[in-house]
Amino acid sequence: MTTTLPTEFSRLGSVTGHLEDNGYTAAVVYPVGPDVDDHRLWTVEHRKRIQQCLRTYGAVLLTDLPVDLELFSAVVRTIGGEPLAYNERSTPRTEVGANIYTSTEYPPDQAIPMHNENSYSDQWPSTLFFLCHTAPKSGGATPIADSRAVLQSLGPEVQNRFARGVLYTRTFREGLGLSWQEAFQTDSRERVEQYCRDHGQRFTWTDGGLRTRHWQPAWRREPSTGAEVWFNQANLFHVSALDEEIREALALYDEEDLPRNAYLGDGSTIEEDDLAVVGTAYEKVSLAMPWRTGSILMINNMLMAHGREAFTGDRRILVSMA
Amino acid sequence: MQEPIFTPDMFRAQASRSPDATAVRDGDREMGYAELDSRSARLARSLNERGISRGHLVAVVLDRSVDLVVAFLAVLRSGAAYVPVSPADPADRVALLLEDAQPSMVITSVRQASRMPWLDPGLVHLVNGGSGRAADHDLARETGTAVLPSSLTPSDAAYVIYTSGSTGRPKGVVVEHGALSSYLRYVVASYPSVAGRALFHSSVSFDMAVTSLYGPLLTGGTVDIVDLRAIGANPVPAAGAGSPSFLKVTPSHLALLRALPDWCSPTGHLVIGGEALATAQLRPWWAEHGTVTIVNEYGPTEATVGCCVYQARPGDVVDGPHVPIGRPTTGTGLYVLDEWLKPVPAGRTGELHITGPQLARGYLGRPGATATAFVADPFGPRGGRMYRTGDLVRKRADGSLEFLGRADDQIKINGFRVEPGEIQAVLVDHDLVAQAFVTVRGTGAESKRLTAYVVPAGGGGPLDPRELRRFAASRLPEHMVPVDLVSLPALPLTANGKVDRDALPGPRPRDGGDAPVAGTAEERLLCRMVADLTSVPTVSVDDDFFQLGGSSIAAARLVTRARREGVGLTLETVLKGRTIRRMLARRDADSLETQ
Repeated sequence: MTTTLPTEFSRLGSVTGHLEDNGYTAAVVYPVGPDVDDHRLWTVEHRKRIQQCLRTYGAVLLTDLPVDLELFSAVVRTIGGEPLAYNERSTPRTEVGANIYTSTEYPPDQAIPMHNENSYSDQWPSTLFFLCHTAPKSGGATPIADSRAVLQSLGPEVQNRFARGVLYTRTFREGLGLSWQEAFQTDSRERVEQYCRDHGQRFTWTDGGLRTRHWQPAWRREPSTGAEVWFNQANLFHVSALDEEIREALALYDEEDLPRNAYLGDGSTIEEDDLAVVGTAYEKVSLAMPWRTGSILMINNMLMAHGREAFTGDRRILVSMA
Repeated sequence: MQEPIFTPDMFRAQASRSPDATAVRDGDREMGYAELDSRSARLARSLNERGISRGHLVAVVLDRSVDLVVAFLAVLRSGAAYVPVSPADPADRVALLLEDAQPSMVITSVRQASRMPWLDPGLVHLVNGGSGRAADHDLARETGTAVLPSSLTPSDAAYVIYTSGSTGRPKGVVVEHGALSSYLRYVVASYPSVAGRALFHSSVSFDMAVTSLYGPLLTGGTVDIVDLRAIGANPVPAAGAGSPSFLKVTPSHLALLRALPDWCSPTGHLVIGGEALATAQLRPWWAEHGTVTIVNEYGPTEATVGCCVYQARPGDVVDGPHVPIGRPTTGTGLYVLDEWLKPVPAGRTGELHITGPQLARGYLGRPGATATAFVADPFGPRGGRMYRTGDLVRKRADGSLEFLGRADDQIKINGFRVEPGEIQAVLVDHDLVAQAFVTVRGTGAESKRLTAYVVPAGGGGPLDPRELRRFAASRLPEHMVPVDLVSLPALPLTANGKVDRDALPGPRPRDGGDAPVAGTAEERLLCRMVADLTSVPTVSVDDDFFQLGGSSIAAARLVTRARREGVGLTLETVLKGRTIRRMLARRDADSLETQ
């Protein structure tokens, strides 16, 4: 559904924006390309308004831009400030420029469930930037879901159970999932230990690697709107996120040896039915806009969850976080 | 008179010392020092008359030729800086560089100018391109006036050389006279053979040319312009030429050099730069030319040609898989740092950071990129700058450095960091391998495969990949053994003499055939499953699952699929066994234990 924007957002210079809205999730769309000579200057001039859109609606899509890493990097710096390095990794990525990464390198035929970046951690990026370098042949959108609407859609029972927060456990070892060296981007055990202590994580070195566990709330208050947002990755960490074949192989292990898992805050098991409710809420709330080469999507990471659809053909989406 | 310190003045001083010596030779055409001096002076004057002076950029779009040498010197004498653009580059790139550099003038030939119809005619300054047509007035006029002595300062730009950036858009590196003089003082003091005859064969748009051009011109030597690749058809040296005394090449050129007639190889110094040099790459040539001094010269364009050097004199022994890059040139400071800019201990790999007088001013018109690459030097005096090279090096116990390759080239496969340089060094140690290049092919976590391109030694036929893999596996950890091995008659090179990744063929269908045929029903079943999971057509029981491109996710799938068919694998047996034969052996051992 396309709706009009309040006048202060609808015209930024020569560009007319509109709102893409499914009743739960909304994104502000600016077709910047053809009407603007200097795209970098345009973002600088309208920085305040774009930032305001990100605080209010949570997502801004710029379309028809040239694929240019320097322009992308400039947009990131203008809107979000200095980009962040991707630390305490949970997925494989490759750095292609200064703090510009490929999006998670997962097989094309698998979707990546909805999540807020690093919501399992005590630090997370405020804004995410995606550049569509090569649009996939089919599928492959980066759906977004308003985390306020997700929380409200869950119903009181599920909310009650998650009031205890989420306990995340990870086991790092060579060969299975990420090694601790890759996840923490260091070869030094002392650095890992220091990191865990600094971030309230318990750790145990094992024969083949490292186990960590830490607690985080299931929802948080987003500072600029004051709204409560569903903000955890229980759905991704829980063993049910894995497909049947992989679960079956991992079932031969002790539960604590799983590469990652999630429990309720008191250590009790998360019911798969509850996660199904979370999944349904994400499905209902999600807005998927197909990628076009040269689009930049920016999202407020606390207001918007994101995921990835399965796709065919080449797809190259670059990510920077600030 | 004061000792000249800037390149054009040092050249003039040399021209007055050896006016009759041959300065440049291009095939049958020769030019002496006196003539080169007067021609470059006239062109400089003509540039000055057209408003060109200090602070301007002048693009030079000419092939390697006597005129090119005149033009370079003339631009320097005019006070401006030159931007060398190779006409051999694709038209789009030529246009892109000129667009980016925004030169005040473009010196080119009639022939090249016709290829650039979009150039503003007001910017074009034509010289005779050696085409035999009527020469432009600047070069034809016989009498000339000396230009004024240069009023250059160390911070005036001397040249702008474009390097390809990681974003794919080339960046112009602005090198100042102070930095250039610093490097050339090192060349003159350390390579006495430049005063003889040096071959000038590399692309003009690459800073390797600086050594072979100004080295001779500041010492009374001769710059001999050749095309190494064209020599094969022309095995007889030019009249009176004989072997050069000085030659600078990239490591990838070494194989070419051995294939060329012996008069192409130098008698004094062979300087090698531009890429990491493996000992095994050097050994065959040096074995045949034991009286030549080898110089491994390391340096990014951003630190002016060469700033860290290792000299191996006749009789020296070079051990270890890498030829060291030695020690810094005078004034240069080198730090090996980790990602937190903390020095790493000797023996550990870190990123090389450079300080000192040879640092470039920065990237033309790119303050952001300049600030990212040239950062404050946290170790030196306040206000000092430090260049982050992106190159991986290691300090040896004797204090000299080893260059291992680009940090960007680091490959990650299944979470392992892999340095292609280390694998290449092992492969070229094999008697039948002359050259090797290792990279990753395929995208996505499940299909990335380590691929090695190998050139057989002595022009032999394609190499047996299984034998090479066995050889590599005996010296490297399993994750560093290439999955695909492709034999090529030669590695494709870019104009800069570096391996041209884009021109490498894609991975071929895997060699099967001579593999031990799977025997038991269980083995055949697993071979089919592994083939399906890795998209490799034929799999033998001795193939390594992870080398075939299998990931830990694929391993989990293999376990489940096998168990569903009644073969009791566990993830542990797959991860540790790696080959089907060993997986099954482990399974059998485990089941005995539990009985």
